[in-house]
Amino acid sequence: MTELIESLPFELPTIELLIFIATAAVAIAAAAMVVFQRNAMYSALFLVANFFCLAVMYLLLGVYFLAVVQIAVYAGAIMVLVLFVIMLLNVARPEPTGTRLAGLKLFGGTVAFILLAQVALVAARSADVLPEPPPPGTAELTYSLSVAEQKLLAAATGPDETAWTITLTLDGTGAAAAGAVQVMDALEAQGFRVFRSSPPRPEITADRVGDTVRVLALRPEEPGQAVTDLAATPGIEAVTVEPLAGSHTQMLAAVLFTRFLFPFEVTSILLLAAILGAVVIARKRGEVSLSRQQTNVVPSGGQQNGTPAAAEATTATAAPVDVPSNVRPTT
Amino acid sequence: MVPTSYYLIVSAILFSLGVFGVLLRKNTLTIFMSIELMLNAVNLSFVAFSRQFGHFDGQVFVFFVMAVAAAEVAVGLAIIVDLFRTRQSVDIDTINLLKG
Repeated sequence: MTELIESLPFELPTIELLIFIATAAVAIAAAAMVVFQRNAMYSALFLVANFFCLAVMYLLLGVYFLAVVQIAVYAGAIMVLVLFVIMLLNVARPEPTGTRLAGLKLFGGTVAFILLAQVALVAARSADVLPEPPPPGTAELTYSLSVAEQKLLAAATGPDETAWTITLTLDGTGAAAAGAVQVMDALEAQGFRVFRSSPPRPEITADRVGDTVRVLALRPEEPGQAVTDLAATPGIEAVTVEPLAGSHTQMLAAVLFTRFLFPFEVTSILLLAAILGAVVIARKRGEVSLSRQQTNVVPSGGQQNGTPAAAEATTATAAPVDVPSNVRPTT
Repeated sequence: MVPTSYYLIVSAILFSLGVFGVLLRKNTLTIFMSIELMLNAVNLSFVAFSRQFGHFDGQVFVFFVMAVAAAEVAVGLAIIVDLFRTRQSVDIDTINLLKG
């Protein structure tokens, strides 16, 4: 079997590529159905299928958080709102043919095709220009570090060295300072260059149960080397040694809540304004004009009662809400 | 690993379909959905480039695009509901006056 595969004149596609092609085919078919369906309800359902396909592509790209948000926000919240409006307005019946400017279909098709040709041409050419992307998880590691740590690493890292983080979990017996020194000595014996601080950090001196202390270290890159297990030390409950990297979500949060904190806060104002705007626009127009009508009706009764003051009193009792003070019965 | 250009081509096709939908359809709701389609196509490009250049800015931008899309849908659908009240139709051809 292996010989047969190796004897093939072309390279077999990877599983990743096969999943990508299948997802892309479904995504494009669903998008086409969104556009060419006459029934708005079916369009909406095909759009949900399209969103799910995009979520799968985000997973392939290693962007797990956005994949979940795509399903929760787009396929969940937004499409439920759209479907709700379609049902509320009861416009699910197919739209009639004709009437719209006859040439528009041709025009739209031409414009869309020219656009597609341009963008697809550029995208296809980009294949020659763009290098192989870096493996996921290595990009922008520095975002999980503080500014001081970034400066420290940038100044100290040699050309063939990689950064590691060592996490010490303290057990609260008061021996953490001595234990930490033992751990670092053991690591240096394994070839790590550990960034020690003197005097010991306040977390180590305080030594509360379950506190974790992160220490940075550098080690020359050698293929196939592993970290040997560290012997248990008094004062230190657990030691984890791992290459400096965060999960995707962790790193995205680090960027979002530092460099993009202000836009993030502005977004909350935008959403608030959108909610208020939606409520104001979709509110029944009738409510305001109804109270006006009441004030218009009342004066005729007031005239029968006689005095304008009596008329005003009737107005006040009949429509206590929303009556402008300058609305007076006309005689 | 799937090359970035494949993602860009899919994104281009989805975006063009969205443009075609906006120009072709008469139902305001379908036009609205076509706009969502275009926003998503652009998001896909952003994420693909974000991986290509090992930079998080693209993903953060996608996050903001999603927030703006949510706001846009809320206000847009409110407008459509209001239009339907005055015109009894969501056909784009009947909406040719600014006056309510």
